[in-house]
Amino acid sequence: MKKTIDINLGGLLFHLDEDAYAVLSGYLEALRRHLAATEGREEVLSDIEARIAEIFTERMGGTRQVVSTDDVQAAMNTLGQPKDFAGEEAANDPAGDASAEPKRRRLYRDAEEQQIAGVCAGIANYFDIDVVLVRILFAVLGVFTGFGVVLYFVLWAATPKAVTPAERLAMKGKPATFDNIRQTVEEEFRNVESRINSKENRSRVKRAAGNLGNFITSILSGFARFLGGLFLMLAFFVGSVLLVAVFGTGITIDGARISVTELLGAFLPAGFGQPYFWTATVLVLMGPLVALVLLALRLLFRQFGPVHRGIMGAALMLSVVGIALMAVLGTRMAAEFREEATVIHVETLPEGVTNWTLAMETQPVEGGTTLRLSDDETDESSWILTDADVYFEGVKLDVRPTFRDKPSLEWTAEAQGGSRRAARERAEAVAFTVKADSTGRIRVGDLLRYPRSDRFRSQNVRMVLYLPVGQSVYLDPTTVPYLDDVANTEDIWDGEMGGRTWLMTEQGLAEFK
Amino acid sequence: MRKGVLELCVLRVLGRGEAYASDISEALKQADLLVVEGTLYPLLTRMKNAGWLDYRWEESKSGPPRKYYQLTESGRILLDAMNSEWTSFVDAVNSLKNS
Repeated sequence: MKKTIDINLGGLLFHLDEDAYAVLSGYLEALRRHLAATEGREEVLSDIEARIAEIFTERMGGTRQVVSTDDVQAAMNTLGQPKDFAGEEAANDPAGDASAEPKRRRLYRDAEEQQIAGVCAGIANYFDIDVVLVRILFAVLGVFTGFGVVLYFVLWAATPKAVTPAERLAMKGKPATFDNIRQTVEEEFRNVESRINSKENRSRVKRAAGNLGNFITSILSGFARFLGGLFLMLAFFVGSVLLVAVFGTGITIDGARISVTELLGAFLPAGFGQPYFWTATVLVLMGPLVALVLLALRLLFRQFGPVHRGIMGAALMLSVVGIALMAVLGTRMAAEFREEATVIHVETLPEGVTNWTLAMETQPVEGGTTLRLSDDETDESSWILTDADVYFEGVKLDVRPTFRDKPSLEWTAEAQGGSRRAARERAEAVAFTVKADSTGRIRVGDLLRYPRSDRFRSQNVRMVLYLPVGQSVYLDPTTVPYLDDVANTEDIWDGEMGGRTWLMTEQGLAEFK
Repeated sequence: MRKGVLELCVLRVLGRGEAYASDISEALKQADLLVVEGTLYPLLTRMKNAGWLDYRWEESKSGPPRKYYQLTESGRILLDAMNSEWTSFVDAVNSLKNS
């Protein structure tokens, strides 16, 4: 079952099926555009419409009801493609007729001046500027943002090449200035006037409403071009920003400048190189970017026809592919956090000490880049990347009672991975320094270290000092950010525990006064 | 070249009597002077606006009303002028071929 659409052609009613309607209205629209600079365009168009109506009537033969694409095709074959006869008409113009108006200028690719595909030369023709300027602009945009390259290819695909003499004329024709737009508007207005006044067009008075629409469209086209310029600048801006973000050296998160490539290197799963990520990102951006550029070009140049749909479809397909690639990456990423493993290390403590001190010691790191995802000091969100290793602040401290008679010091390295084995290997690779001297001072490194090739998979260290009843520990203020819910009889929170001495009693840690 | 003489051909066809667009295009097609009909409409409109042609509406049984074109007085004068110019042009070209 197909829907039909009723149309009025030369004063007669026709039922067209949807496809036929699409073909016919595309054809008439193309005619309208190609005859833009022809004198008496409206009259020519209504003659042609009347002829199409006649062809339809002949073909229907009073038996069929609905006009099909075949009928439309037959009419088009008889009348010819707009290109054919608009071209003939242009070539037919008497050369000496100075009053003949040149065609309105359109954007074409200039094959005669081309370096690559003639896009720059075409733009230079359109705006009447030196082609060298346009090329420099594209080169600059291409080198610094990459957007110039995208724009070039979109223009290449969307702009027709000026082949016939008529097209070459149109390429260099009457510039689209404000004056010309006004002139078009006035012409339209006169057309509407004459049509309403003339008796012979009795059946066409209704269409005057449509022509009034054209008249308004003409006025709006001025605004459309303005909007087109705006959109194009927006597309340039968005494209440039995105591409700087994507290809550039860094982005800013929470005021801290970090390198995207470093960030990715620290987190991407093995087997998914940066090229994979960049490809996916660029593909995802392709759809929106191309849409924006095409919208801008359409408004700016009023040139592009159905070729749009193909390019837009292709760009959207690429976006979908990009999203799929991203999804694969995301799944793989999530899979690498599936299993968890821990490795416990026991440190030796000196004999005969009963009063301990816990203090942090800054881990010396030579060189490296700092990644900071948050400015909150208590968040574990800061990595230092050196050539071979990553230093991470994921260290936690705790003090607990033991029922043995000697204290002990343990630290547990934890990591995640796609399998138990992978997680365990990562946990084993975590390095952490803690030193206890003979006076009972325990110095804790503030950073853990793991090989850069391991990627960040929740590596962290939890160090616990087990104290027998009767022994005490002084918590240096430097430990405060690292304390992790240390249980005590006073119900004091970690932040208040620093700078005090604590005694292990039967009930738990109590402040020693 | 073929296109350049299209105007003259239209004038000649109409010189035989009034006709509507499809008749004209049919005649030109038979003479192998026209490929697609669409070319004719802009041409007819321009010639009408130049005052060489005039037309009247006639109801049609098979479709919308038709425009029947005929030559105006100035159209006839133009046809005569172009005919003689064409003859001398063709003679001149042919004389080269025969010599």
